[in-house]
Amino acid sequence: LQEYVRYTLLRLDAALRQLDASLDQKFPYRDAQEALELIRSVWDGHREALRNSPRTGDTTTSLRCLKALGEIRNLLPIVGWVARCASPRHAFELYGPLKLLARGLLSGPNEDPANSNVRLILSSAWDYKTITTRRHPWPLSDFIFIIFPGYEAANPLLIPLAGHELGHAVWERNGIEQRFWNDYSTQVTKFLIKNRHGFPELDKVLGRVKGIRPAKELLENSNNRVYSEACRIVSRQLEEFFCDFIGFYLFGESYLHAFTYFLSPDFPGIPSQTYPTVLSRLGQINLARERFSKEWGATIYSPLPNLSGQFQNIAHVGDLELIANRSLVFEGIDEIAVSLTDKLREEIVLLANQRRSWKELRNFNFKKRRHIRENCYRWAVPAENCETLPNILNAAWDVERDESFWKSHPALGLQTIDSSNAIEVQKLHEKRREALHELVLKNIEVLEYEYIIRRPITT
Amino acid sequence: MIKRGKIAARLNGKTKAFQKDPFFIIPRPVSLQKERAAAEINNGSASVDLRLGTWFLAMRPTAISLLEPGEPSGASRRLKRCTEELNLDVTIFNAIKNHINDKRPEMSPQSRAIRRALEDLKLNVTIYNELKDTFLASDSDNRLANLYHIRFGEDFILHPRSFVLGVTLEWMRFPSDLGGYVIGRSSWGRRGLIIATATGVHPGFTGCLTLELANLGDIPIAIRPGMTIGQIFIHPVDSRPGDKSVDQSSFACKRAPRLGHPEPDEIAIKLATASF
Repeated sequence: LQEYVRYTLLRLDAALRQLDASLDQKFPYRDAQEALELIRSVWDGHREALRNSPRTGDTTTSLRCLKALGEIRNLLPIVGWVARCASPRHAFELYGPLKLLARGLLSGPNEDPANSNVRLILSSAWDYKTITTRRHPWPLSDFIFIIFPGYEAANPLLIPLAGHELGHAVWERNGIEQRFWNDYSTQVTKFLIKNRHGFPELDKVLGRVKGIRPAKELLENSNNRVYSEACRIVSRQLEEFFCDFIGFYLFGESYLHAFTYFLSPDFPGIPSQTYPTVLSRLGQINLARERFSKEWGATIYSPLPNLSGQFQNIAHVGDLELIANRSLVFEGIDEIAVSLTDKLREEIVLLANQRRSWKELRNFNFKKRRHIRENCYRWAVPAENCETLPNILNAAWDVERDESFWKSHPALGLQTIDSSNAIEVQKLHEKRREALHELVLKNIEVLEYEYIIRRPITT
Repeated sequence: MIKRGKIAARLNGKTKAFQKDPFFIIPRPVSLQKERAAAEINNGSASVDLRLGTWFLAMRPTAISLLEPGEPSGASRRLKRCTEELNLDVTIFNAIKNHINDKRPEMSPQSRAIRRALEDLKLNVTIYNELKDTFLASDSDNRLANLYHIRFGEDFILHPRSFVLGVTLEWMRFPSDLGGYVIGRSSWGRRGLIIATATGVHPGFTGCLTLELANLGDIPIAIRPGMTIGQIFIHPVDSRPGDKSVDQSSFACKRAPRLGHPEPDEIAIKLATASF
């Protein structure tokens, strides 16, 4: 056997051993086990094929080795996420309501979410940010992965960020990118024609061409690097804006607070060209609020607090060259993405009006939120008949943001401590935060309980 | 004690005094829902059913030296006989043996799988381990116990003579003029299931009640979140509604069971350190 075939087989063996060990654990929901079994079948298929391949290496065999190793590389992080989803550090109460949300959101216009094949893995990773798979890897095309940072895995106030991650699935499944391709590629072409002298390579390709359509054809046919990279960046930025709008559509104000909690004063590290600036995203969410309020009524989307002061465009030490580049070239590209956001918002209005299941998802309002906050959370008890997850989360964020909310609570009020003692005050705030998290998670379980008991008994 | 009809009236009470210091049981038991309130006025029962919640906390097995390295011990022989009698594959025997030799069985997925397999076979094999360190009651929850979440529709098997902490599905808030006592249901008690040993609920308590579940019988009991597992008797406390003097230690605000720490008081410390 060729050495590389033997090594590939050994690596497949090792990966399968690790996967089998993960499969041995008790999973909190069936989707997790099914995901691992699907991955197992892919890796095992490669192993069988390689074992039966000719003894001498040929091109087909070496290609199969590459494919097998590529599928270990692509699927291994997913095995890690799935294996970790069983950890009791997670808030398992979130699973049922989030899966219902995902099914409602990803159903087609005439599809009943109850018949949906969408499966969900909710887990965490040793990563700073929330993660999802942007392109659903084979054989897991029905699976949605929402991966929270490990240290925030049980923080229910961050659930609205799952709305953003679900947005990536909506983007992909509804082919939004293809629908916007003509718009953004035309604008990128216009921008590059205008700034062609800054790019010698581009200038050479375009020659004397002046019209947008022939220039675009030329750039596409020549597979121009600057053009394709600019298009890729605009597309990614549009996708991020779109996901923010979906998150806001689903969760209303609580999305904005989770966003602010997670990103202010700015995202640390090297600024990514594929993400719009945080301040730009914040501004666009505010515009989405205006548009959605106009479409579905201001009783759903509350007036938003001005949170721009929470953010600063910090110059990252050591990244000055990148920032300078950004100002030269990418600001223009940022502008292209921003110019298309109105159309993106209209896209969401269109998708929502075509789907009955989406209408049910945005069933949240001030009145319910006030009832939950004032008649239940005020006494540190979960509420009945909350109807939707966003009603709970919007009320929870009201409590989180109001330091004086429990000031006269018999056990959480200031009267229970020596308020001149800073350590005691700090401990009281921690106690309140922990109480709020427990309360919200219990409330989400009550929501699921009510959903289950409303359904007829099936045998 | 208060009869069920009166409890329902109190839960649904709209009077100002009640609203200043409300009584909550969420989710509200079916017998206490507004629509049933009128019918329950004449109900003679004085208790409210409680359902089992979804979180469990099980103690890790303590450290007992059982096997000598390299030597087939009594436990190993017993296991061998057991696997032979059950006609189990030799790999299963080896897996169980490895499980015994595993220093921290609860930490490894393979060991958990073995334990589950044993549960599936209804073999209540208690395997103790030789550990370099042992657990002490003063250790943290993370070190002493494993937390489990069982979704609605799934079972948790409580083996004979095993003990686990559970919670009620109901989250309660007791006003300052009410207290309660939790007891089991006789139908479960007759099968050996005991649900609580520390049964008093103080005025001002808020959160899910912790249940101390023990199977004193000889057969495994499958318990399932959402099933009615106990009942609470509610009684008045000599206090006015709205009285804010609440026992702080009774405020738990927890949805899952925790071990907590039995703290010795001043007298216990003095007695423990006394010397003459």
